Amino acid sequence: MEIKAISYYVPEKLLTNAELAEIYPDFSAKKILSKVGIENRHIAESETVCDMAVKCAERLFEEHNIDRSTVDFVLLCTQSPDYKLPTTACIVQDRLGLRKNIGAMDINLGCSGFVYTLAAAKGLVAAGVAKNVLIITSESYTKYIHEYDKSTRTIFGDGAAAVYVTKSDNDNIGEFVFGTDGSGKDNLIVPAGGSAVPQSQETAIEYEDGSSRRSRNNLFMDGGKIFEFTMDVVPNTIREILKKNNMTLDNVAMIIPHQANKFILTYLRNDMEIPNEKFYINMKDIGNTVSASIPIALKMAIDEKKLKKGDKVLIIGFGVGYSWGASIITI
Amino acid sequence: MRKEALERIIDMLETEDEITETTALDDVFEWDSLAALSYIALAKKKYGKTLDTGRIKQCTVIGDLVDLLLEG
Repeated sequence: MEIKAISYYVPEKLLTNAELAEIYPDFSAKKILSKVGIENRHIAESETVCDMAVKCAERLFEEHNIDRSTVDFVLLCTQSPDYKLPTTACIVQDRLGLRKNIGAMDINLGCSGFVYTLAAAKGLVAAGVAKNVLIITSESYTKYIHEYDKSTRTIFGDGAAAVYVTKSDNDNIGEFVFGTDGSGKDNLIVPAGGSAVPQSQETAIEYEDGSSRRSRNNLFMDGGKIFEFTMDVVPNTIREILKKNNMTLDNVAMIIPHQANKFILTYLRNDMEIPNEKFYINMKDIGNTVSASIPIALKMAIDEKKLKKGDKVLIIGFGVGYSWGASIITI
Repeated sequence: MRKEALERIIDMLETEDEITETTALDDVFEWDSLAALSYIALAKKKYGKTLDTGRIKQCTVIGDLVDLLLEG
């Protein structure tokens, strides 16, 4: 099987560093760019995850000349679905005009989500359950973020990616490594709004946290804890996935990590002594798009001709859950 | 030991200002949430320590950061 096509979509509205520097007086636009590596993020505003997913899939069909009637399974990865129920993937089936005799389901994961959804697609194709799986990762974390939450608002942007996984004679999706540690759940969380803590007047009360402000209805991230988690799992997972695929770093054209932020990725790259050109960092005009970040970065690297057909690429996602996963794919 | 820890913190901050143990963190332009992450990495790599972010928030002067690295 193979990854036949990748397209991505980001909403039009931009949030620039200049705008952020105006809101947060101790930030300068230049400092944000040099440290976090992000200049612009795209904001979905009135668009939903389903809207972005549909636009992105339409773009995939058009850019790659894919006949939509060939799709026989939809896997949609998101943590900001249009509704608690029904499943967003079902709405996407209807809005895209896909066949009715196909499967569609959501996968609820964040920064690791693309790797997991790709693994699920591989399983469906390998088992003969489906021939052509439409993967969509669509995320709009900005809907959860408080205007005055400096740490998260600087980093996250909205966006979607669509990837077509099809049965073929090639064996282009390699082995996987996964990891899960739910004890980290409180460090990247929207505390209220689920059945554990329903939204109420009380959860809407805002509180100050250093120079940020938010309520329990908003996204909360403990940057320090997430950084520690990343330092712990990413280098080990990279070693494991190379071993599992019987490869060394020399066999891999490029590592495409989840585009968390430049600060964390630069630290990891230096820590593992990986050459700059082998460790892709490009989120300047996109930000951290959660589960869409890896396929968007893949597509960017291909468009920039940094990757060519036949190249092996190590992909690794890590974050909210905690959840992490890696694989090696062939372009 | 202390001097080395202080030098590492100054290196990490990449500041051109004069820094001593009594310098208030509020007066260090480079000390922000990302610098705190660099500090966490320094503690882990060079001192084998996992620091609680709550304790970093309690630090008020550079000397407190040195103490945290060297304690225990």
